[in-house]
Amino acid sequence: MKPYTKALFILLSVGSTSVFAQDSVNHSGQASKHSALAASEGLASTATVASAAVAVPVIVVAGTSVVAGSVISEVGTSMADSAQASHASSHSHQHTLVITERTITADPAPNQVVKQQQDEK
Amino acid sequence: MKLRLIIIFVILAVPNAWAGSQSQAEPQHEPAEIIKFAKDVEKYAASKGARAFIIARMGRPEKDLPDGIMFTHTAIAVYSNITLNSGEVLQGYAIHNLYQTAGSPDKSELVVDYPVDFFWGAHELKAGIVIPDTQLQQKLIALIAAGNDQALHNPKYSVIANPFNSQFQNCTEYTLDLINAAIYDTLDIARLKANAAAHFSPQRVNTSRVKLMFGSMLMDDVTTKDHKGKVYTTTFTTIGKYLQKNQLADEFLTLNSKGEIQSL
Repeated sequence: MKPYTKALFILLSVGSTSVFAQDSVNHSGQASKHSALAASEGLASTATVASAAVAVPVIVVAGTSVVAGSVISEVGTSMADSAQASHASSHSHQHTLVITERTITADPAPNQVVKQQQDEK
Repeated sequence: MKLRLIIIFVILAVPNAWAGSQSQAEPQHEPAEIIKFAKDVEKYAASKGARAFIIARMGRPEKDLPDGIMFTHTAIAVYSNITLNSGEVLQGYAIHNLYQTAGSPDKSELVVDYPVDFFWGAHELKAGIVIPDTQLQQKLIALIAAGNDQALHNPKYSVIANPFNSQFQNCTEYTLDLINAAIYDTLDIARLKANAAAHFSPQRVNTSRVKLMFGSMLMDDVTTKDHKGKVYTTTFTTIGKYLQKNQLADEFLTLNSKGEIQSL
């Protein structure tokens, strides 16, 4: 088989389908994303954007929502009816949890924050 | 000379077959669409009272996905009190991910982000959602809240990691490890792998040896070192089926930007 025929064979066999379908890519630190999100504010009433500092799981203990860390040892208690009693639950559906209308995003990567700060000077 | 050109052409062309694994994906949709879809996913999960659920995204067009694979990235979303930089506390879902390290695709790191971050580079605004039963949700939250999710992280990354050993790990295998750690109340990796081998059915990666050979030669995040014979890996769908088969899934579905729900 001639070299170019071999190469063509390889190209066709390799390039015909996408084999490895993972895309474990972090979009959190993209400066372009933060610019676009910032620009989108005002396009819709619900589109206000806020950067998060920290997220703490809400654990339910004996029908009451609590912040993780304070009562980890009591986690074994059932939360089957927890949503009804959750401090965060106030909607008519007893199992519906409250979700903020704000759009929360992770902070940009440190190097991008530094660059932004330098650009602002 | 001709042969050299052909080799260069092949080397340049092969990575394109797997484009999307490495570069920071640019948005495929208008920011307002992504914002709305991300919020819709949150609201759907919240309407079901889900305090922890498995979430997946499509990082490439559906037509380009290999047989049997619906989603390209999987993680666990946890209902949380989220403190903003301003000090204000809001409720929403924080997503606990294993992501490839920027610049070192054969390495990974654990990153918490939020739905709009998660779906930012998605090619199609379609989410995979598995809501575990209440008890498993509770155990997953306890695992993460205690910081034990860190103990299950293996930073050696392979796109096609074998879920039955701990040589390499990808986002879906990490998610499976979290789930099994919660189910079996253990952080013993050997036990988790043994239980996965006994009870979990992974997805066969249908591809030729030529593709695998070139992939492992040319891409840092592709290796077959942890496989013997045919290649199997963890996917969102196989995780959903695993939980469904064991009566541990309350919901297993897809949700798209039109609000259409498809049960799996």
